[in-house]
Amino acid sequence: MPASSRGNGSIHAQTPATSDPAPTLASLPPELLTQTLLHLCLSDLTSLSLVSKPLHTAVDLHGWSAWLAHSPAARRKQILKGDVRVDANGREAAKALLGIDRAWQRKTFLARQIHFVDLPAPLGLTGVNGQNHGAENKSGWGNSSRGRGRPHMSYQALSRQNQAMPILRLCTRGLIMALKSSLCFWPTRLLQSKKGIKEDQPKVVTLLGDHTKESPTAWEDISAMELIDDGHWILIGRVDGKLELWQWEVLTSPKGLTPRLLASYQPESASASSVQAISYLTSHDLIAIAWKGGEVVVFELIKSSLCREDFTSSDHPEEEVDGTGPSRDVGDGFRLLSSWSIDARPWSLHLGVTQEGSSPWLVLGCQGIEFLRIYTASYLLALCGARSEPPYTSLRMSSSRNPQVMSVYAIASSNCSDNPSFPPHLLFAGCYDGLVRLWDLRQLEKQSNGTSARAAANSSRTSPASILLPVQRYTDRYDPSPVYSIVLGVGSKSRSFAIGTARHGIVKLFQMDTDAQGGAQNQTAIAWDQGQGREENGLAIRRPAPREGSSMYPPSPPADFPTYSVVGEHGRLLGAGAGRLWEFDARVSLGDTTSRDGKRDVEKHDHTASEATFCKRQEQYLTKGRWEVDGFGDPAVEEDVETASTTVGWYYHGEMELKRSGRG
Amino acid sequence: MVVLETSDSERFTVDKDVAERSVLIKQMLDDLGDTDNPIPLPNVTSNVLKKVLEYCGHHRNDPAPPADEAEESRKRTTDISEWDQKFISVDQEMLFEIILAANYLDIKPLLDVGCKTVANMIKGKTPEEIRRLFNIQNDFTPEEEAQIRKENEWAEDR
Repeated sequence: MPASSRGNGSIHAQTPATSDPAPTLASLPPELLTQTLLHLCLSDLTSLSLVSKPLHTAVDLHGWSAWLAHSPAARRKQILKGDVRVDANGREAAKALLGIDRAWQRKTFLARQIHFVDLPAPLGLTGVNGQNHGAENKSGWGNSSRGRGRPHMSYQALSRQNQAMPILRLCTRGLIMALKSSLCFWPTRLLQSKKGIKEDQPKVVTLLGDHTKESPTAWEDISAMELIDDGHWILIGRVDGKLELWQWEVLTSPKGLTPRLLASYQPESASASSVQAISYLTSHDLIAIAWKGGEVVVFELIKSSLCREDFTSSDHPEEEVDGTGPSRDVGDGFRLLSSWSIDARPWSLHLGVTQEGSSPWLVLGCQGIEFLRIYTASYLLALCGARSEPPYTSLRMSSSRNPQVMSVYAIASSNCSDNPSFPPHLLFAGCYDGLVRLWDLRQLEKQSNGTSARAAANSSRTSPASILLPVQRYTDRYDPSPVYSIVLGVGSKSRSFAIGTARHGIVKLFQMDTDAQGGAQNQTAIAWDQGQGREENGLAIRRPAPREGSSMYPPSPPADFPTYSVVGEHGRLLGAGAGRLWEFDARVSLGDTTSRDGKRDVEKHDHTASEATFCKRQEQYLTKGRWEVDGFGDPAVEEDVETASTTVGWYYHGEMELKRSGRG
Repeated sequence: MVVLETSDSERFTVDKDVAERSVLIKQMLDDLGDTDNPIPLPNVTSNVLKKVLEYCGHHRNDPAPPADEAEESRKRTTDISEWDQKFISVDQEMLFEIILAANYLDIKPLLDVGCKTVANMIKGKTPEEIRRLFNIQNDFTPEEEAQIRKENEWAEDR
């Protein structure tokens, strides 16, 4: 015990410990043995447990939990982890975790999907026929037909026609999807079932808006959504440019089903355009919003004023009644920090911090040459009510054939430090050219220190064009379709990130470098040094080829729409496109067991027709003309493949292009 | 300067910043104030303390270890710096003595080096190899062994 002789000022030696026998591995005290177990992988732990009884006990008591404790996937908060038996020594949890890792690695997992057919058609759709509301041509991706005046049209039909863009968000209580002007909610306990999402599950659907009045504003599609405080509040933006803060108590308590509107905001600009993106930064209570017309606003969320019990405006939202003029009321709970306009079309934005405790930054993904603009927070926070664009650093492409069409549709960074593979200073940008570019924003800080003097001398509103090269790029060389959505911390060991792309509902999975921190840092340093060198010495910048990953197809029938939104965690990935929601579930691995002689046999699961058996091995596909479950030859499995209505394809980007298979 | 006295009554005189790599000694010095009296370390023998002080002397100027949990986990790999590797290349008895002393004296980085070294010794070995390496008796019956093998099947590398 370290403190045993604390404060003992005696100069006399205590009883010497030399008479003890020499220490050995087996005689180490348990806490020290545990420290050693921390550094071992599972196969070493199993070897160790076979050595002797005391070591077997030690591994059983501490080994699995030690392994869990430093596994990145276990450290990350899991919402959908499923029915893992909680056991004291972590053995079952470790087992489940390992099963998921292996399922991702082997690409043996289930894919399911549901259609949005059973969502109720909004009641108020009739009666607004012919009303040409202002946002007619501004919704989303330039679709003009909005489905109004088509009574009783199913959501699926609406979705097909209007290219509805669902937005998914995960919170502790469940999965939320914004679709058209509705919210759908699947409680966590349903999601945790191994059966996954089913169409007949009792989810909750609600319309955001007062559908008793025939006010067209309530029917404006939701074009952006962000959850605040794990779903305590929901911030949505609509295609008419209105921003609304809702509280839906189904997310915090089981009783309240009707969402309440707490506050709303409409930008002053007369030509209100669609809300393109919303980002919320928990640590600073900052909200940033970008509108399609180029307006950008930063708010501070004043939670105390929203928590008041006597809050009344939820029942009579005046903004809703007054549908004629844009509201100038910023509303309770919002404090306007700054707002400005840019001369480009924003697509995405993201608030983040480089490290815990440092000041936040805002990244705007736009169309054009300056496709990423990074604003540092000293400006965002200091310029209270600023009307001009703060200085920014733009990230350009160092070389591009056609920079005018460059856009960034998705930005992500990790706001939490509990995912060691994704430190918060790494910025991921999903681009129009199909690449995901990764920047290390610590380089930006170094750079801004260097150029601040120059910038001050110029006293220019925008900083000099600076080139900060991405430290890593990820792409699928066979399908460079635009990247629409990103989720970090999924897949094996939670070390991958997934992107939703513009075509066929494909979700692509990319593995982060194993040495994400060190590698990224070194490469940045090299790239940056070479960037400097180019100016001085005319040296060409050598860049590594983009990293490649693998693609996952949703179950057939073939999806001909983008994956607008993708969420996920260690065991599962969920994607949504127009009219469909699909999931890739690695918790139920198809190749779960290994028989004793080392030969793999496939455990038979009772797949329903809507579940796809997942298939493997390109050569099998090539020779047999369709995907096969790994371990084919087992008649039971063959049968499964035959009866499954759908198959799912995957391929490594680096190898060979494969078209998805039709029905067998 | 600080005087340390080991269990076999040998005294070591070292610089204060070297001795204070040990959290235990640092706390004792804080409690005692300035004193010329030797600090008794009844759980450490002289040959082990000599080795531990060698480590402390080499790492006397190291920055304080990061308190950040995430930072710590990143370092939770089994790589050991070159100097530490050389330092820890000792016989098994000394290795475990150093681990025990590092734990007693509360020198976290040294404890880490020790545990990582033991882990590296175990890595990739079969149970029989581990037994031989650490001179451990197999006290399982064949049935028990088969039972454990079955229990652990899920974690085997495949």
